[in-house]
Amino acid sequence: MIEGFRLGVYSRGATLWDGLDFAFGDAAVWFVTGPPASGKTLLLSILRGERRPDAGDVLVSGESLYRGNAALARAWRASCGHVPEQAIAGAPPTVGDLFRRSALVGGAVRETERKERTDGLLEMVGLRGASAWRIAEMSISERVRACLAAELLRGPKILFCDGVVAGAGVPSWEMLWGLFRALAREGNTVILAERRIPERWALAAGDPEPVGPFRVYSLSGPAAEGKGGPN
Amino acid sequence: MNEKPSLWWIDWRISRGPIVRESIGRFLFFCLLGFALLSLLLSGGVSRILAGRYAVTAVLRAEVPSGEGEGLARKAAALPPVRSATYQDPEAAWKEFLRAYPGLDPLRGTGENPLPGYIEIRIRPDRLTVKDVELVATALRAVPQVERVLAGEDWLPRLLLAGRLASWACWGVFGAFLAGFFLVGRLQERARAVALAGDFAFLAERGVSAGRLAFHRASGAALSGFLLAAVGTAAGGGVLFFSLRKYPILERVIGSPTDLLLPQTIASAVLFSIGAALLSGAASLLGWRAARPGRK
Amino acid sequence: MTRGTRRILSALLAASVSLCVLFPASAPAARDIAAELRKERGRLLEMKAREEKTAQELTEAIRKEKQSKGRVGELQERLKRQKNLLSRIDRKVSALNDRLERAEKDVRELEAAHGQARTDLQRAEVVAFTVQKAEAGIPLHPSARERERHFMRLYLEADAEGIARITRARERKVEELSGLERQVAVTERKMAREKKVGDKLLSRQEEERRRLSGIEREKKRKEKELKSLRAKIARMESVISRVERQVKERERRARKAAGGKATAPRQFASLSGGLSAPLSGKVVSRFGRQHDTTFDVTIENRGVEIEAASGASVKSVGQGEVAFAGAVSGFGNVLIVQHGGGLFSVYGRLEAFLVKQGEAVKKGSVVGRLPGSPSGKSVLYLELRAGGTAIDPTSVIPLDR
Repeated sequence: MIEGFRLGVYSRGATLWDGLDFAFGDAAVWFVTGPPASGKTLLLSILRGERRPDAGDVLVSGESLYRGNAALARAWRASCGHVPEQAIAGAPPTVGDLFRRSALVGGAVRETERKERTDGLLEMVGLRGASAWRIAEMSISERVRACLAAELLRGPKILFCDGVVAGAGVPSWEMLWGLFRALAREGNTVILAERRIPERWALAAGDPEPVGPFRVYSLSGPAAEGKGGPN
Repeated sequence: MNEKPSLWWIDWRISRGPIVRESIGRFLFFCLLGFALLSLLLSGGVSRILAGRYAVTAVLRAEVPSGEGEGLARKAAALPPVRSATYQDPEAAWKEFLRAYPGLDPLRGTGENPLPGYIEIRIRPDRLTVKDVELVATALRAVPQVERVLAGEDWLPRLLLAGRLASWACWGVFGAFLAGFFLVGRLQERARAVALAGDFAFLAERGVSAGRLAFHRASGAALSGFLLAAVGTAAGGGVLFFSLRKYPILERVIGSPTDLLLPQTIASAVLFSIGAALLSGAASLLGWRAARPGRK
Repeated sequence: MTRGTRRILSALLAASVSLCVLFPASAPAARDIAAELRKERGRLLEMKAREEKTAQELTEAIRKEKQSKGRVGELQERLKRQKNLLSRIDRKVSALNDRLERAEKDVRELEAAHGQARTDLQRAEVVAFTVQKAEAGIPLHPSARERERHFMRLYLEADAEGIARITRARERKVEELSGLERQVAVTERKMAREKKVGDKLLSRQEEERRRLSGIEREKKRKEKELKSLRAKIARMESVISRVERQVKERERRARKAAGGKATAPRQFASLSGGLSAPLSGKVVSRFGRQHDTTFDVTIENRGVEIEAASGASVKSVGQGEVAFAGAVSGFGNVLIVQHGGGLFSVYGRLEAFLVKQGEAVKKGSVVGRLPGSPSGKSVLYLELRAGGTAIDPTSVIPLDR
């Protein structure tokens, strides 16, 4: 479980949001929506342990991410999967390199296993035989799906996806919906940050919980609890 | 899934091609540097060359017979700074003289050989100093059969100074190459860090601290630098060994191939490898640092 | 004195002795013979004088010839010596010329060697300079170069020493050459002088030979004349012998007429009182046949010649009477003492008589004196005759030989 207590962030000389309290339970798909520049990516980075909040704390399984053991924080970050928005910056040359990079973080993924699973994962996201594709020549949707597949190589318990649904495109929503729910059923947690949730997903998730400027949908598992809002 | 990803040989795991190319390049470079280092160590810079070109000549009196000259040469060879002492009889002196002055007609002239026999004394390379030469010259001058001692007292200090300067220059060139290696290595590390910036950013996003990454990278560079330097120096030493055995002129200039197997030579090679390791690690760190101006 | 002359003189003495014995108180018949003998004597004397003169001239000619021959011989000897000397000088000049030639050759060779040595030294210096200049800058083998430069210095010093030696040798040779040239000049001048002397000797020799030829011709002439004279004298002797035989025959008849027996001539050994030496001296010419080495003739001496101090007194060898005291050509002043019984002693070459003819003398009484001589020695001619025959005086008188 990931919990946020009285989280507050100052960005660009102004308080973006403050006093956010929420909890993301395990084995669920959480959908966080918010208007542009509301700090969705920032929230994900705080939850991943990448950026320290200006106020409040994040607890992961009861351990403080920012005020506790730094090694634990590093381990948390290494164990999280993260698909950044558009997944362009710093992309390696080929899709295979993406998987190799992903395997670096997951030390247990061996070379042979990686090679075996790469094609399977790519096929799963609709990129069959794309391991040799050059990232620069792929579309946004393809890149996003390739990154997602590369993150799944490590089998992260928590998967943070920033703009993946919008980036992957409508044709891939079905695949993504099935994928995320499968992950949740396997006990993994997926936290997505999007501007808007696909309608079908929204219907499946039910009413969102307001968490500051965000609306948090739980696509499976217990609903998120949120208090506070944008300043 | 490990909590802490292993960062050993992270560059190799991310990008092998450039690493292979760089390693090959560094190996060859260390072969060359190792060859140069061992050559400099054996020759003492230019000491051996100087010692090979410098000699003290004890010109004997004309009436000294060959047997006595050879006996004097044996006694001279027993002096501590002396490496070898060879007696040349008047006939040999005459032939050498005619070779040096080819315009002279050997059949004409005084009708008899005006040159006396002499003893050529070679000084050990590590004892080629003004003081040791003076010691040898003084000992020879005290011998009644010696008419004159040619020790080059007027130009020896300049020669030794030139030798020292040359040795320093050789070591300087070696050091320059080493510095060049460091600079090139740094540039390579920087370039690789820039090339792998995305991967490093990926790792940074996944909780891998820059410091840890830099440390592992530098350690890997140091270890690979040590190994490459050691193997390269060994290879260079092997080439040097066979070259010295095959080309006697090199042996005269550099030294005996068996000196390569002396403990001090091996220790010097190990020290060089350690130094190369340190330089490689430093180049990795500095290159990493130079590649991260905009990094958080 | 030639053999012929001695014979003539001996005959004259014999004739004189015979006359002294036979005609102290002659009869008128003997006067014819005496007159004849005197006439013949006079003729003989004349002939003898002529012969003496001719003999003297011959002797003179012979003496001149001998002298001339001697001079010719001497000149020949001198010429021979001159020739030898000239040969020696010539050989010496040849030897000197040879040495001169060798010395000149040596000088040329030394000069050539000197020039070559100097050229070689210069070339060596150029080589040394060129090599050292080429190696200027940074030497690759400084010790070897230093040693070679030192050896080049030794080499050049040895060359220079060699040149100095050649120079000294050349100077010595030039000096020797000058000496030889002077010697050659001196020797050639000497040779020229000796040649002149030789030419003079040749001309003198020629002159002397001509003179000798003249003397020989004169000698031949004199010999011929002498031969003729001797023939005449021989004829005269035969006349005198004939007269002597006549005298003897007359004497025998006279003795026979006087009723006495012919007495055999006496011997000197039985002479009363014995004999003594006429003076103290040494016999220098013995009695009998003697070979005259001077004239290469064999002569017969009828007496002996005794050399004594000049001016020595001559004593009678025995008791007797002075039968003759006068000059006889060839014998100078002659004193004849008859000792009776046909024994006579004849003393020739006296300077002065101290007794007169007919004076009685005893053994050892001074009868005359030898002439003075610058050499301090004079010669006495002593002859003993017994019965007209000359006998060796040394056989009866103790004389020092």
